[in-house]
Amino acid sequence: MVGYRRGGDWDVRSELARLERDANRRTRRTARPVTRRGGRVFPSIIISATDEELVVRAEVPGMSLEDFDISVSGDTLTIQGSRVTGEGLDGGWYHRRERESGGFSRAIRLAAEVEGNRAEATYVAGVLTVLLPLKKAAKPREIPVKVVEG
Amino acid sequence: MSERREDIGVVDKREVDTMVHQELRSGNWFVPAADIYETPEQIVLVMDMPGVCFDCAHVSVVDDELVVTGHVTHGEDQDDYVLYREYDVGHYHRHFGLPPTINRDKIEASMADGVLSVIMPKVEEFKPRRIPITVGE
Repeated sequence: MVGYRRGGDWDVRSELARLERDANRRTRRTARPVTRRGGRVFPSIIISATDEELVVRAEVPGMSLEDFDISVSGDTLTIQGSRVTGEGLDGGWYHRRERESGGFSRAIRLAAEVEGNRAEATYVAGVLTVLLPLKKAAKPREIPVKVVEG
Repeated sequence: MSERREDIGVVDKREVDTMVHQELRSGNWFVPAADIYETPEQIVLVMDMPGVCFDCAHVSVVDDELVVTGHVTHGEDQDDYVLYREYDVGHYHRHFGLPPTINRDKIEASMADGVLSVIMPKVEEFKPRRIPITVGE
């Protein structure tokens, strides 16, 4: 889904540089940010990165942090919850109803290794933000090469 | 990608028509999703405006319209590199026609968790009232 390389070592910096070049090229062409409207699972997300962490954001207004069930398992972030609208209706009747309500569950596969046990979530002004610290790159392993006489 | 669909659907944000609202040319502007319901006493307007803190939302009555504007302050860090995006972050703007049943002076608005609620009480003469019945001769 995320469309970047999986498997092997994932070099955040070079990948980011490539994405930035790509994004700049697209922006020049269309004068619009790169947006995929293909996401058909609620909630819609934005994934961004800093040197230290992956940041997953979602706009889910009218909730509280306790209403979310957020977990990280391996390379998959799962966000579940249920949004209720119309609780103040008592005895009234609708003229217009555009706000979505119901349960949701979304699993997001992350393209970088993260430390799930250090993940943090905040919820401010209806925006859920999950911070996933990137695993420090494993030390390159040296493989001794035997010289075979012959 | 292991995703399964539950009963809540994705609705793309609707952009404000900048041909009509030319003052909103700069930045992204969206039409907030709204619920409107009526009780015998009042009309309530509830709008989703994620990313707008409570002091960045503005509600005003202009002629016979209620004008709602919200400036987004949360939702995207300018310093982050966006790797993947399914929605745009932007401000909110929407107009609503006010019926004559509304008492313009008593409109109140509150904001919590990215949801703006506007409570519009009805003018006294439009509220339901009980008519006492006297014993006929």
